[in-house]
Amino acid sequence: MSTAVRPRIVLVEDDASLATAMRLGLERSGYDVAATPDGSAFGALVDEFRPDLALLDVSLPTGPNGFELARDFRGRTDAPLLFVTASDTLADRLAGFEVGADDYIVKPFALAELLARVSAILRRAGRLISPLIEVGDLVIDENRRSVVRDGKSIPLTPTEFGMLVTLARSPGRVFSKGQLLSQLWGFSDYDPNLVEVHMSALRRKVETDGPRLIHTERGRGYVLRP
Amino acid sequence: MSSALSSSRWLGGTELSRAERQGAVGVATAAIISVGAIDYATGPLLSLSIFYLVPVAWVSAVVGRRAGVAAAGLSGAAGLLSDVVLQPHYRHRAIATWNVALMVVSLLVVVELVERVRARALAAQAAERRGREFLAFAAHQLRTPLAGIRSTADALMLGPGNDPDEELLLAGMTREADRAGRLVSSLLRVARIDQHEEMPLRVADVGQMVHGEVGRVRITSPHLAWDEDTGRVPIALRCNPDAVGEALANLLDNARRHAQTRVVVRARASAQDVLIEVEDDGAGLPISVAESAFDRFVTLDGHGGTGLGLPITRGIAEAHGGDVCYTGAAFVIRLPRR
Repeated sequence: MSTAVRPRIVLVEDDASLATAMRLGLERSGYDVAATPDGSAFGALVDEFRPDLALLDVSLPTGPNGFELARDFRGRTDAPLLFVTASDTLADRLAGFEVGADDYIVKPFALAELLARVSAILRRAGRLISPLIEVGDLVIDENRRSVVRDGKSIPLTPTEFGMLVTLARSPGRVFSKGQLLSQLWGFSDYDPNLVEVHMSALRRKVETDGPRLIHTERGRGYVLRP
Repeated sequence: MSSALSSSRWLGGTELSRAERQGAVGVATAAIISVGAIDYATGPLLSLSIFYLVPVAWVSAVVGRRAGVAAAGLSGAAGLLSDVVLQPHYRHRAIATWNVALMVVSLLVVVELVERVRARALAAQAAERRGREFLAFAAHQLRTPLAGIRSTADALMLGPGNDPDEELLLAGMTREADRAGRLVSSLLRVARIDQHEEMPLRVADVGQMVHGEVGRVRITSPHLAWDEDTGRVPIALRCNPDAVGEALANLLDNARRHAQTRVVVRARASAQDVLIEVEDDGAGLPISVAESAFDRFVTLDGHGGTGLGLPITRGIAEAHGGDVCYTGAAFVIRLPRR
């Protein structure tokens, strides 16, 4: 992400491998993460780190559970919080919303889904204000989900918009089909044709009135550059 | 197995509530007294003793051994009273008394035999319940490690280097973790359907539910033509929309994996029912094996299903008082409008 200020996320997850993977995934997607395996020093961490979002595992083997941490968090900041839970029963979901959760995500989840929810919540809470992205004569406004090229607005489907934003956040970087798949679909159905179908639709819309912006690097993937 | 046991509630093998037990004892007592009264009215007929057997065996099956013994005792008292005490002209009192004693002993033997069958049925039921609880627990516990595998592969995929071979391996890892995750979710769903977990109901428009689910599957399978025909008027149905959506999603997933070029989804309503049909232009199922497609863990192809989609769809439809069938061309969910 090209923003200078990276949104901060505090993560409480007792499973070490999952915590590491979540932390790296979030960091590689432009967030600063402070992770802790239990809630023993949670209050101090929140006060010191001043997170924009909390990611809390509901069931923690030691110390206070996620619901108790949520109440504590609510008493310290108005930043949004998201539960990570292994249970998808209605009762547990409602209990989560009762203690002030903004959303929840059920294990096992795709990183793409986690990232989508995190950015949606941060945006809603006004804690993620992305600057306009400009590539050549193309202007992308993530906050308003609009794309304008040469003064003309281009209507895109959510998938096409997501694909364009992924490319545009790192202009000049080549994204393989696999990377786009994992970013946008979370590999729920691995089919490289999926990328091709949506990519050709995106190109049709974006490149009708101007020179080529999305280039195919044979055998490597796609790259956006003027 | 579970349905066979639960449908036999009043034939024994299921723990009844206190009120139900008291009711059963009352019914058996009334039946025994009636048999005693008929016994007295008809005079000493040996063959009549057989009618004491029915309430005694029944009450020991549904309530237990103590109730059975009490019922046998009551039968003996009724027999003595009607055949010996209240029949002063009967000449062979000793034989009548002996007959009643013999009857009581036979009844006690029956009570004991019934008790053995009952204990076995209760033990089987408890074992089944423990099995289901274990299934739910195990599935639940698997979720965190699966999330760990899945997120690790995803995080690696976001890394700067993108060697095509590595990516293919990571994609395989994600896909397998995903499949395991779906299987775990399905197992939990099945466990919940088996436990008859209550589903909150509200009124929803079937057309919109169809539209939502088709929209979702259209994103992952844009190469197929997805036709929706839900009529012009909204179809109001009182149901659990999440569950019905899941039932439909399973059929759509099935169609997606088997269709050649197109899938048609229709929703129709009559005064009594709502029918949701999913038809694809794939090879179809031979009607002879169609029914087994609804059995758990039956996958009739190599298309990567969990073997739980259709059983879950059927379980959800049945929880709504409806059913699912295969007509030879389409899968049809029928839901009553109540």
